[in-house]
Amino acid sequence: MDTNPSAAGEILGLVPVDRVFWTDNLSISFGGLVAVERVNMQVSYGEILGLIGPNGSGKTTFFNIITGLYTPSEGDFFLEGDSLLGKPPHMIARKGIARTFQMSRLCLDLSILDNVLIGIHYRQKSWLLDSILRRRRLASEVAGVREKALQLFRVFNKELVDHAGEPAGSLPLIDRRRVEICRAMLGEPKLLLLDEPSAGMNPEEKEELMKDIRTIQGASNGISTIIIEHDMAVIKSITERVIALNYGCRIAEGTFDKVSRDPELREAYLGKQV
Amino acid sequence: MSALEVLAQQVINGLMLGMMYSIVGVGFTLYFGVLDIINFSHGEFYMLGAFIALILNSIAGAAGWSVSPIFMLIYIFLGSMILTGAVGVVTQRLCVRPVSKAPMLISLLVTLGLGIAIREAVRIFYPRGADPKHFPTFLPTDSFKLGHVIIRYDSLIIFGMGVVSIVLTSLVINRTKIGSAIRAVAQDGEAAMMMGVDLDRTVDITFFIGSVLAAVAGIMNGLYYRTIMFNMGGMAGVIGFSAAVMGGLGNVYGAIVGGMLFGLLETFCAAVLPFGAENKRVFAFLVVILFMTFKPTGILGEKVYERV
Amino acid sequence: MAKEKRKSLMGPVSVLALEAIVYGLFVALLLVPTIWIIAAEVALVGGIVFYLWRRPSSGKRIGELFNAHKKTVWVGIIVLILTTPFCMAYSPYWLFIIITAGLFTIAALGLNLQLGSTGMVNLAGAAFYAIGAYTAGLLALNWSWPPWLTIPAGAVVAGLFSILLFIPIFKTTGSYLALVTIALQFMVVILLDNQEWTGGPQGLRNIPLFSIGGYSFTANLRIGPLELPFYANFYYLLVLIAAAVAIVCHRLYQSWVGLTLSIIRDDEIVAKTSGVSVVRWKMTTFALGNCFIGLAGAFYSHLVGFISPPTFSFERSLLLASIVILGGMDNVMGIIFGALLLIILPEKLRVISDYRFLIYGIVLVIMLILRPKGLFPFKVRDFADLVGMARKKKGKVPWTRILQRRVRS
Repeated sequence: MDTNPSAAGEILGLVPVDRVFWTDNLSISFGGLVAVERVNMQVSYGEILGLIGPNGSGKTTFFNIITGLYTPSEGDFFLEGDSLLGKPPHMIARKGIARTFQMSRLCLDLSILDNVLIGIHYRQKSWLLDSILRRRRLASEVAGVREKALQLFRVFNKELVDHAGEPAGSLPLIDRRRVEICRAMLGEPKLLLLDEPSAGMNPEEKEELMKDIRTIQGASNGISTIIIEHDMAVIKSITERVIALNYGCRIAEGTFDKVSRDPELREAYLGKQV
Repeated sequence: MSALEVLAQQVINGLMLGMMYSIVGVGFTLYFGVLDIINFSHGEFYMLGAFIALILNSIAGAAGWSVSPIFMLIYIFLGSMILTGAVGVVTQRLCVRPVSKAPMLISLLVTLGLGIAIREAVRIFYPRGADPKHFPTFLPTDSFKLGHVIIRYDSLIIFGMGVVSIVLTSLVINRTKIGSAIRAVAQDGEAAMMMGVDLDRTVDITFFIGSVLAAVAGIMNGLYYRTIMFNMGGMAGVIGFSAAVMGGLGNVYGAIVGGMLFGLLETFCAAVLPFGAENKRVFAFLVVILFMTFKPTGILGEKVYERV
Repeated sequence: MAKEKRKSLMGPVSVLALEAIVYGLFVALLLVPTIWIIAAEVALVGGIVFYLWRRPSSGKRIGELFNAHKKTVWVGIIVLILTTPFCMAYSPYWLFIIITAGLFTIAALGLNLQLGSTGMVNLAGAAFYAIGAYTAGLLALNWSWPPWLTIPAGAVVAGLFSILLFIPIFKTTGSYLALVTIALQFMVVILLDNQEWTGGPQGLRNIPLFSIGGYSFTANLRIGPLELPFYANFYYLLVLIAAAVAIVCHRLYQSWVGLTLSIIRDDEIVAKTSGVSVVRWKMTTFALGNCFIGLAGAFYSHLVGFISPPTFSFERSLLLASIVILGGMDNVMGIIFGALLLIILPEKLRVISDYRFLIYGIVLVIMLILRPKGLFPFKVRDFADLVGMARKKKGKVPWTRILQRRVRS
């Protein structure tokens, strides 16, 4: 298991300022099964970090912990220095961690715009009383946010702009993924978590997706991102650094080239060499 | 009467009540397990079973039978079981199957509507249906005493019937081929289908068993209280549902535990608490609410993690 | 010029004509004493529905017509609503039934906030209605509170009671929540039935009838030479309250609140990870919805002057839930229609009164099998009005240009 170089820095009292997010011995077990075991990792500002590992290695579980859906049995995790341990999911979201889901979770009956606007709703000021009595204020808020959403749509797929009022169920898979990413991004999160965004896509669609992610990175001064992926081409092309998990433990870390040569990782994916 | 005897008396009464609730609860839990639906017409089948038994009895009377009470008992039980079971299967195919894929709320309301229809049909079409009906007495009416504790003979017999029904149901579910089919579908309907289980037939049989159980409980109720009314199904349904949920929806043993619990709660609250008699149901429902809040999976249920 | 003027009048006139025809059918349904009118109207409506189904373009044209002349539509509706008591001048009974339908509309809108908008199953609607009614009745009887205080009090108490149920509500979902509310429903009714201070099984009698600032609601309403049955007083007040509630619900729907509730309903996990405090919102909507239900209940107790436990049965809760489901979840107009349908039709069928509930049960089953999303199609939320309002505020683009832009794009 690798050592965590920045932990040394912390012990020495040097607080690194380039980390937006880090975890400290994060663990969780379900009944007797240890799903995530003492994971230490960190994400720097503007970095795209890849998270790989065979099925069942705890990647999505890790996401669930750091978004507050699961409570870890051990360890802690920090966003910009604040501990998020024990905080409910909606607080963590408001602090700035946004995510997409492995199985695309869109509200299919609601309009595309509705699905995306929820990503920024918590910044809005017009609530109960304003909705009833001060409609103008609500109206200007809605119009403003809608513009932002449409701008995001233009980056991904101009057609989304025209069909923004239609139910999300009418979209093909790749557009649903895009909408989900827009939803996560609309709130300008500090940390973006993408869970297998290219699953179910063909190579052309994956190319488009990577292009779009790079565009967003460029447009928004680089949102720090952790991306879970099974497709190594995607990982290789987008990420600067990769962490590999197996059976809930971190087994390798480094650039994609370095990690892909790691013997333990190969064994995890391909089995022992006979 | 010593305290122990008072306690024993309450326990016996509570268990009697609980037995009937348990049987209704088992039906609820079976429906939930197999089809993921809350079948709110179940209580009305309880009532229907009792009324069909009454009708069968009247037919026998009109035809001038004079046979032993045991024979009559077997006749009305079997007859009602088969007929109620049949009605259950038919209504399931007509009303429940079409909405089995819809959200649970829809099936809840559909079965509620079905229940209303059954109840009203009985009230309208049974002669003077709105009046309480006398249920024939086939069981010995006397009782014996253990110290100061009164035990009715018919209670014992009814309790025994209940035990037999539950044991039989458990045997069917755990030891027969159709039972494994039911359990398989309850775990994962699609996988069961792929393994060759006939889903439609399994659901039909589940509803048959559930309706039969309801009928048995209804007749037991009639034998115990010796009166039945067209609206006896409403409360029985709600209590049966509570029993199933308290014990853990989908778990047959849970329903039994839940039913007994509810019966004991009612009896004890009536006896022990001040203002207990009128409010016994209130306390029992309060316990149900507390259960739902703090242990929604029920006594015997398992914790389920939602897949994110 | 004259031709253009005629053309521009054609639209509004046809709208008014259509509204008048529908209204006429409605009034005829109520006032014509035989039940054959029902069969005739069902056939007529069925025929129209069939025609529109075969020729959707006609339906679309009518829809566009109504959209283009929104102001006329509303003026027409308001006029028709105001004149209803005049039509019912000789049938106070039907006026009373319409008022009852109005009360159920308010309660159903409250339930819709919980069930349709947020997905919280509340089968204790009748219990909260009872809480509102008993609060108003007790305050009026024991402490002589006037109606304009007791009715809001009924709403507030019902809302406070919801807050008591805080923990069970937010910890349970779906059918478990249904069971909690069912248990609650029975608890409340049993308690009301056996407590002395609520009047027990006899309930409360002689609740002071309405009187606001000296004007007694029980006197017949005099408008010029006409004298309307005293129910007309209640009618107009109720229309005001119902309209207010409907507007509030509509505005909540077309706002961040409505959006948040929809997401909670459709996918709680997404809601949570998008920053929605699901617990807070569930509590708020549950309480607000019950406030509306309690409000209706309080009004009811002053309307009839006498309330007792059997009125607030589980069946009433089911009726309320059916109105929301059949009328259309999260659809204000649909619910109004559903309330009218489910309250008025059974009254009309009183002739075969014995079979009422049987038919109700059967119709419920059939409706849910055939059209589980409600009578009216789900309307996707559309912030266009708000966006238009924002543009208008900027003063740069006048209304007509916005319409043109929308038509073009």
